[in-house]
Amino acid sequence: MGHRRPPPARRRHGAVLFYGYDFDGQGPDEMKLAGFLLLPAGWGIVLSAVALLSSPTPRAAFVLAGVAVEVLGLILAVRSHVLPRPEREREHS
Amino acid sequence: MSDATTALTLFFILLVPFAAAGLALINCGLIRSRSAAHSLLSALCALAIGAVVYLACGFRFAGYPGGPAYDLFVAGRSWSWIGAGSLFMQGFALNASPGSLAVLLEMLSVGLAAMIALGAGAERWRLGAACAATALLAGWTWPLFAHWVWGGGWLAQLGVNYGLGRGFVDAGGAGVIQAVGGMTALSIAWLLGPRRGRYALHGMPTAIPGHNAVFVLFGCLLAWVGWIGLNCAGALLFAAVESGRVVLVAANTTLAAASGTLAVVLITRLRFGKPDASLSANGWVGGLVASSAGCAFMTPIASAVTGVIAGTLVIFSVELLELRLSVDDPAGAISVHGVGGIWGVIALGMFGHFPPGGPGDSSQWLAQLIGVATLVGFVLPMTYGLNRLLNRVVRFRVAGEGERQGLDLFELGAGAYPDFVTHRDEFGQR
Repeated sequence: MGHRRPPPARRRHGAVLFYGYDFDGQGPDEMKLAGFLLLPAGWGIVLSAVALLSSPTPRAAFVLAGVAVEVLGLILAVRSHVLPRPEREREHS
Repeated sequence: MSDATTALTLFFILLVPFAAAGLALINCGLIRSRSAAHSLLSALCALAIGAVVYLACGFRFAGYPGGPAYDLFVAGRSWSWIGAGSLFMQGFALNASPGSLAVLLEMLSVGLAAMIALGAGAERWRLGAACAATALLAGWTWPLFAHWVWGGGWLAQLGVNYGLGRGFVDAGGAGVIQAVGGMTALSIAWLLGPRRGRYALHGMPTAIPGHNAVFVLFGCLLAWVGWIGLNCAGALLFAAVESGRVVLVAANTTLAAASGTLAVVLITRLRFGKPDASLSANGWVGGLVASSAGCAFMTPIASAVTGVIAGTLVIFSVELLELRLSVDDPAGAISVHGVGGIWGVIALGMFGHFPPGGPGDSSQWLAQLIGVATLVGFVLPMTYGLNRLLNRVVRFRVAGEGERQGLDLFELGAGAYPDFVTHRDEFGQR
C-alpha cells in the first residue's frame, strides 16, 4: 500500500500547518457555523421555556429540549475542530 | 453581617490567592521547562490584568448582591441582566460591608478564571495575546455571567421569579469561575491548535510530559487551602449561610478533593499498573472544582460521591480530548475546570439539601440545568467568537521558531533554569 499524502495545505491568516493539517481552528466551516449557531439556539429555547411556560412539566420538557439542541451544537462544534486522520482511517478500513 | 462574620469572611477571602498560586504551579509543572518562566509570568499578568480591568469596567457589569442593575421585563417579570455600577468604582466605598467583601472576592476570582485558560494555551500562546484575552474576559465575559449568578441577576432570580428552588446556586464559583474559565480554555485551545509535535503524521498524539511533578503536586496542596477560602467566603457572601456552616463547607471541600484524587489513583492503578501523578493531581483539583457549587448544601457523603465522579470524569475527559478530539490541553484545564465545574453545578441539583424554611428542593435541578445551558449555549459561543475576533487583531499563536526555542527564550530572553537545562527536541517530531 502506497503512502498517501496529507491533504493539500491551505494557508490563511494566522494558520499553523502540521503535516498539511490546518490548525488555527479553521475546520469545516459549515459544520462549525452550524454548531455555533445551534448553541445559542438551544439557549434561546431554554430561555423561552423559562419565560413563557408556567406549568412545571412542559417547562422542564422544553428546557431539556433546549439542552438537547445545545448538545447537538456542541457535537458539531467539536467535530469541526477534530484533526483529520486519513491515514488512520485507511488503516482501519 | 456581624463584625465576627465580617472578619471571618475577610480571612477566607485572603486565602483565595493560595488557589491562584496552586494553579500557577500546576500549570507550570505540567509543561516543558523551556516555557516555565513564561507560564508563571503569564499567570502573574493574568492576575494583574484581571484586577485592573475589573476595577476599570468589570465591577460596573458584575455588580454585587443588592447593587444597582439594569432590568428587562419579560412576560411581566423582571430579569436583571447586567450591573449598573460605576466605572473605576467611582463612588463605591470599600469598607466592611457585604457588598465590599463581595467585590473583593470577585476581583480575586476574575484572575483565577483567567489563569485557567493559560493552562490550555501553554507553550504556544503569546504573552501579549494572553493579556489581551484576559482583558476581554475580565472586562466583559466574566462580569456578565458573574452578575447573573453572584450579582443577583436573572439566574439567581429563577427561584423568586419562577419558583425554581432557590434559583441558580453556585456558592464557590464552580460555574462562575471554573466553568467560565473552562469554556474560555476550550475556545483558546481550539483557536491555537495543538503544540508542534503533539500529533504525529497519523494523527496519533505524542506524549509531552511535564517538567516538574513536584510543582504540580505541591500546587495541589496550595490550591486546597485557597479553595477552602474560596468556598467558605462564597458561601457566606453569595449563599447567605450562617457562619457556623463554614465547618461543613471546609469539610466538604476536603472530602471532594480527597475522594476525587483517590478515585483517579485507583483507576489509573487498575488501568496502567501504576498511579499516574499528573492525572491524580488533576483529580484532586477536579474534586475541589466540583465541590464549589454545593459545598454549603451537601452532606459529607454526597460531597465524597461528587468528588469520585469528578475524578472519574476528569480521567475520561482528558483521554477523550487528547485521543479523539485533537484538543491539546497541556494542563488538563478543560477537563478539570470546564467538565468538573459543570458537574459540580449539576451535582448540587442532584444532591443538594437546603435548610428547612426556605424554598423546596424539588425544582432546584432545573435551575442548575438552566445555568449549565447558559454556560454551554451562551458563554462558550460568545467567548469563542470574541477570542476569534481578537485573534485577528492580536495574533494568538507564537511563531514556529518560538515554539522550538521555548517561550522563555523567545519571548522573555532568558530561561527559567539557565544553569542546567539544555533544549533538545526529545519529544516527538517537529
